[in-house]
Amino acid sequence: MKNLTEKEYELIQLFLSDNLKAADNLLFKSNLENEDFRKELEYQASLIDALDAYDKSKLKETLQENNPLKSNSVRRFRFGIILKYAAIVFLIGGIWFGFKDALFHQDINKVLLTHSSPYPPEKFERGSQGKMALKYKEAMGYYANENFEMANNLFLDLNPQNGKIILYRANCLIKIGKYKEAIVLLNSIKNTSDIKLKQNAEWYLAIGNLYLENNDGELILERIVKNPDHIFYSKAKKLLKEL
Amino acid sequence: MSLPELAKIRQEILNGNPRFLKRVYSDYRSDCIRILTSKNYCDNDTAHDLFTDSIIILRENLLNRKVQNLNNIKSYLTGICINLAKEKNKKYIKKNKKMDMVRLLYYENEHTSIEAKETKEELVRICKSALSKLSERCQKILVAFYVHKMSMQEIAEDLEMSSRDVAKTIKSRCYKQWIKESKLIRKTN
Repeated sequence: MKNLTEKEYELIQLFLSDNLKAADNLLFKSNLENEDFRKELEYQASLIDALDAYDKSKLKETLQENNPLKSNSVRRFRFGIILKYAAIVFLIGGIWFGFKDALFHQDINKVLLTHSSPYPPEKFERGSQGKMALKYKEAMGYYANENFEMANNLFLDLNPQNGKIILYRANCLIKIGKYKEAIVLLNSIKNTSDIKLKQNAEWYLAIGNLYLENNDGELILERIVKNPDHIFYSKAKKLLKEL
Repeated sequence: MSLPELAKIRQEILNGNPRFLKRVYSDYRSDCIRILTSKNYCDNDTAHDLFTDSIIILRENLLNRKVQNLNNIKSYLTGICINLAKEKNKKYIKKNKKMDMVRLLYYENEHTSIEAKETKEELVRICKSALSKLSERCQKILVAFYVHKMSMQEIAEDLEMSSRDVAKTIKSRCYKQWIKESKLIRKTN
């Protein structure tokens, strides 16, 4: 901002004091075309507004100094109510936390067990006799016989980047209780263009998260039930009802 | 309350003594708030704010000699509070309509107002620091003139200056110093 002349400062002061005479008014208006003058005027005006705001906030503070916003009786009354409710919440909370694990875990595991049947094992046609095909067949045999630990190890020896194998591995991990690892695997295929694989990944992601008691589980289920074409639409709806 | 009593209160306020206002605040607060909330003018928190604003208005009116008779402080304050509440509700309805209009145009919220608020807070801070650099008399004159909108004649009388012109000269000097100090503070920031 350039330095203004004494006269220009005086004009600003007169204007802001509502003392601008008719003769000065013309000069003041012509000065408004000068950007520096305008900026100075705006600055001083805003500072005066700030003075007003400051003075009022100072008075408000002074008035409320020894008079807190809510009167003491109201405060004491509210504080009493808050204390009462806090005690009740604390008591219920204590009871809940004491029995929560026993109750909740039992229930959710029961519900999930009935809903989380693993991805069905693949059936083999005759003739697939290559080395890899044999290993795949062996892994699938373990999978079908619910030896998920062995199945997972064998799947890992196959192509670990294959979406379908990832899905099988994730199912193995869910069954052996390694939910976090399963979620990592499922997250890697949830955006695939293969709709069937994608929707399966979403469903088992929900299952894995529910086992971990993450909110994401229910959120994923809610997303699924928004899409009636989803393979797991009715399953998700049913599971949500039971949760 | 007689005129000499009111003059004494005015003098006190002008000299920065909030004794009277504090007393009024604590004596009539609960009554006014109860009236405002029981007649459904506003909620409890808004009533608190309105009552504080009514004290600010009372101060302005005392300083500007608009109050000639203050026999019933409670009625006076309640009247102000009710007017403020009505005005606030009117503004709220109006603002809502405008906001809807803007939303229809841009589908955006008032983002710029946040920036403006920050600038205002910064200015208040600068203003406060600059004011503290001035003499007590200068502070009183500037507040009396720019905040309480008192005339130079009133300021000269209430702050015991020999004439209106003397008050005017001092005010001008104080103002210049205040602006100068504020710019220095602004620069160092």
